[in-house]
Amino acid sequence: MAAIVVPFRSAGKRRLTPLPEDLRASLALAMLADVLSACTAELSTFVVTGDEAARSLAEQVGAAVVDDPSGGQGAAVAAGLRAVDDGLVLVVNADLPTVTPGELRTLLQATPAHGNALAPAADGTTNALGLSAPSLFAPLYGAGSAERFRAHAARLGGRSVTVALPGLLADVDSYEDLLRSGRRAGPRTRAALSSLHAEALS
Amino acid sequence: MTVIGNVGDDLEVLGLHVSPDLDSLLYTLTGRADEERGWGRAGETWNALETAAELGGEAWFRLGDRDLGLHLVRTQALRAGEPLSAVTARLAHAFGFRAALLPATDDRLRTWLETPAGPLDFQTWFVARGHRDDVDAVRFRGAEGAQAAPGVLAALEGADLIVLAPSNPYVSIGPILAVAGIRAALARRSVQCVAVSPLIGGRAVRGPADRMLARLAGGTGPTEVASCYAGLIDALVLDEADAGEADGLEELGIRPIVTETLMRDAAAARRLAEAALGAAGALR
Repeated sequence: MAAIVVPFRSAGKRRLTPLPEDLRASLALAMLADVLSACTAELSTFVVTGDEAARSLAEQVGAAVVDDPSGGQGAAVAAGLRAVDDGLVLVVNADLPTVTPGELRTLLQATPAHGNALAPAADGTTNALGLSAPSLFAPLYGAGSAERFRAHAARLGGRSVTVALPGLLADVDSYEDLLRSGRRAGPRTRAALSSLHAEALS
Repeated sequence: MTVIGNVGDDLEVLGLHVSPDLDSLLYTLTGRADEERGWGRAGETWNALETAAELGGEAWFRLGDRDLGLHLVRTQALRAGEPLSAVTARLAHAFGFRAALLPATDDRLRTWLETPAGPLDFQTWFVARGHRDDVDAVRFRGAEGAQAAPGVLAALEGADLIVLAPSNPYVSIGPILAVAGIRAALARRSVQCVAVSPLIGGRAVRGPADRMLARLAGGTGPTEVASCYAGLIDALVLDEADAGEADGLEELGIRPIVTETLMRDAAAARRLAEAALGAAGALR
């Protein structure tokens, strides 16, 4: 049975400046909540985190929790992949507050029998992956990672499919990204944003 | 941006030179198209056509009053010896289109269909007979000697990215690729060329593309669409409904890009363009 791995870093999104740290953390958690709501609607979901709030959120929505080995995103995903059964698996970043269950279904369908489906961000990094098996993964995150994941699948004799859907493209790297996702974001992110605005006005 | 349009459907109606594809592009890209009807101009009236019919003239090809104005100006210019590309540029400029709109060729290139009922010219097959005849082969009369219109090859050679729009590969894109110079420029491209599949879930949104692919290519999947562009494209954008068939493309050396391709409104069209351009850019 296919599964989804969602890595979540505890420090809050560093790039969500100019917000103070506690707000960054609560926005990051709200985005995780929306991503998990899309994921758990489709498949059994594993959150890789060292963050207490994320851990209890995952438990609330029925996702399993895997401890983050604190070796960066690649190591976190690898740890999550060790927890899932062999076979089809998705890796979905926690900063995609507009992702929908339908988009995850498409990512799953697009995953080749041997190889990967890639959802690249506009800057060439990777927002989500579909893997025909956990063994197709390698810790290749960072600049230009979508192209490197593609090359990696080819080296293993596999194929790659690129998936470009709105919710899988709209990663939140900055406060501007977050405002842009606005109405299309899931309910938790929208609520966090409106309480932020209410605070700013008071 | 340069838009290169098909002239294989051009015809003469009531003594006027009509370029249906170029005109659809011009009307759509300048906000004049009738989105609901899917062809012609918005707010159209049909007085001239009714008069022609009353007088026993040609009325099978639906030319509206507003549309006729354009055909009058174009026909007069062509008769005075102006090439189609020059007239088209002038019309586009007058309608406020800021990019370049070019016919694939200024030469006379026409699409013909081989059908069980015999050879039919494009408009007889498509409009008069409602594209109900099966197509056994597509021919482009005049393609042998046809030269690319001025500006077409320079646009292809200077492009950052080339996109083949989600049109019928046989009768809309095919006549453009039938110009030897254009096909050669695409074959030796140094930038990415991305085609967008006209099929959603194996069906054409509009028109006979699915039936033609089934009969001429043996199927209505992404692989059959890609086979129409062998050697000319680096990636194929296909609809999410066809995601399960994406991975067969890599055998052809073509990268599949899955997205929503139905352009139900301007916002959806923009998302499709952004997704296609973004994915092609990210995987350069």
